[in-house]
Amino acid sequence: MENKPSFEAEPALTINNLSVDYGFTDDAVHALRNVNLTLHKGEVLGLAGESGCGKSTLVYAATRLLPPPGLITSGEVWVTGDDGKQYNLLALNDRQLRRERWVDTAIVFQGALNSLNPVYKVGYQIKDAIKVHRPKWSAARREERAEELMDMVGIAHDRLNAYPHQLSGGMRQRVMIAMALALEPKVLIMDEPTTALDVVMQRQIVQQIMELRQKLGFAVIFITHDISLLIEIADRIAIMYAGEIIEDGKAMELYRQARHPYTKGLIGSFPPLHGARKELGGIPGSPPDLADLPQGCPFMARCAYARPECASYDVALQPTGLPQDSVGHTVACQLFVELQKDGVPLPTGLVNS
Amino acid sequence: MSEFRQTVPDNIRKPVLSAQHVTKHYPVSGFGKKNVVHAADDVSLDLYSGQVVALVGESGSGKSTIAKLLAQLEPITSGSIKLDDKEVRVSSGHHFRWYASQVQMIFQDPFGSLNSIHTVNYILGRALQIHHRHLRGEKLDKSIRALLTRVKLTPPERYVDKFPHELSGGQRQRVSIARALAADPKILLADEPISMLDVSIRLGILNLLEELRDKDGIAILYITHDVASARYFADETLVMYAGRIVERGDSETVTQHPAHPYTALLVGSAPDPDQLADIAHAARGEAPSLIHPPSGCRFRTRCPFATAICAAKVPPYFTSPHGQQVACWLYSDEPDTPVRGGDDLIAQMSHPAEKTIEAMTHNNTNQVSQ
Repeated sequence: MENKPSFEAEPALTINNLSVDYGFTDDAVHALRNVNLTLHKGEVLGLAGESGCGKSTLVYAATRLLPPPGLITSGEVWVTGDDGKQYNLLALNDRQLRRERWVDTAIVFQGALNSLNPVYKVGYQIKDAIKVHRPKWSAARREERAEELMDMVGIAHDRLNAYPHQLSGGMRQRVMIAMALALEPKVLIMDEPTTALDVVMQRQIVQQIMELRQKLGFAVIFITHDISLLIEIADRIAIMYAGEIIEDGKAMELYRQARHPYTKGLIGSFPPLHGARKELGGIPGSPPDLADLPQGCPFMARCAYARPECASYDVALQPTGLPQDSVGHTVACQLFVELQKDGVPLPTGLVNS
Repeated sequence: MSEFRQTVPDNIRKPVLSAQHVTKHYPVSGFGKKNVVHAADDVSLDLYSGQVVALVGESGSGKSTIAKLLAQLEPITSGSIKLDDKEVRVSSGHHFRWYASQVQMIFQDPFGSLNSIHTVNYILGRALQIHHRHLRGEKLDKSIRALLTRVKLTPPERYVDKFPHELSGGQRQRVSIARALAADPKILLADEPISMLDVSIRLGILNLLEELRDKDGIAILYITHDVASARYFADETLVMYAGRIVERGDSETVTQHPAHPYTALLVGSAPDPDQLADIAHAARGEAPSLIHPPSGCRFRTRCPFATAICAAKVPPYFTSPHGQQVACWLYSDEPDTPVRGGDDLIAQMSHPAEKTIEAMTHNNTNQVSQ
């Protein structure tokens, strides 16, 4: 998609210093540590990382859907409401939260089969959400809206009378998307919406989302481990590793000029479909145990550029400081701190691809 | 690619395992109706020593069924499976054990395929004892360590006493590969061995399998839904759609110059940051029901090129301009067969005429409402 629409620089969702633990005691798992992230209006933000890196935890915490023993230990989540005013989602009471949900932020979950109720028709389930949030609407108007939504995602109206098991995997996922868009949210969060689908179906769903985004102008947080898909659809990508965001930048720039050794390794883990066949190595080792994180940089044990200083480095995102990178491109790596403070040149492998 | 393969002259290469016209129908019971699921129809494939064959297709296309049939975990409905040129149909437990010592399977889910109440030592020791009955004591320990070293779990001492839950996904998959190697097989059937693993460790597993192919000359069937990894890893690629093999050929040719419209759709749909323009934007429709598969070519309901002959007759294998075998009437010289607009199928799938998109969408709605 060459001509991505330019997004406004106004934030739709701002996450400040969000930390999440699983468990209360000393052996709590620090699943998320001081994450900062801004989603701008109309933007598609990709969130990529391996399983267990905290990408789902991040959005569940940011929407207060985190099940126990998940515990938000610090942070704020600012959402821009309908009236343009910002409010902290984590400080809302239950009634306010209920009113906000679905209207300002909506979620499409990964397993559509598990998210739809098997004993109700999909039409009922779509209308149910509308009924709660728009109590004054007549039944006919709800029906009309449900049909409109089905049109939007390209499913015939009579499928409203189908039970989830009567629909194919791709159609179920479309119903989930239609449902999420029922109240025209400003922010749509998609948690691996296409992981369970085939590439052909994935392509259709992704195209649909992008078309709807063009038309309705909502902002998207798209979570996946498939970074090559993100490069294609996202405006910006944030890479997570072991509960932290370690790199954040424009999609194409991240692909061509990845700065963090982990990002480089992750992009190098996908064999190319075209171009020269090359020997790829993946990343040696496996992700760290979040319950027993090493001191310093969490990627240190697997990093080809690791040095003793990394063990004492407190990772935080900062601009890369390279002239060829745009201003918003940030990275959390000791090498870039040294580059800016003492002018230590980067290892050649990291300068450019 | 494979050095082992190049040392063997072509004319004396014989397949170690071959499936010929294999068909598998699973019965489905309904109210008095006797229907079958056509999981695999007329599938032929050959595995050679030191060669990787990739079987690519979407879920439900029958690729795992093929693996189960080749491993003789399920009886075939018709056709034959030949091991070293001799037809084998496993009947008894004893016979199966002999067969399993030659043909081993690696499963998709390393979290489910290892018994969680046993240590690595027991899991590997048991497999070794089953296939090498006289292995005991120190020799057994030595073999276990050798296996762990072979799958790069070094030092072995660190892993022998671990339980599966103490290992990461990649390490677990390595243990299950080691377990398969315990039988000293000639053939490995790898059913989506990397799809459940973390992205960053997938290539490590593929490189390990590649090494087994090159060093030990093991024949590998690599089942996957990811065309890019088939291109990376496999020598030959077979594309399966709705229970039939629709295209076969050299991996590079199949992925770079797909001949079957379905392969073109598959390759064109895969995300590829380097070629954003070449994406099959017209992708529509879903795989058909295998209880009542479409007559003739099974892809015709989604195919922009389909004509009357596609519904009437099952296409035989034709040779495409780039040399692969393809089951599609596009490559027939007979009259009344569909015509290609050129060699670049992906581009034609990306921008087909409006009419064909409509037709495909229409076909799709019909088919789902069945």
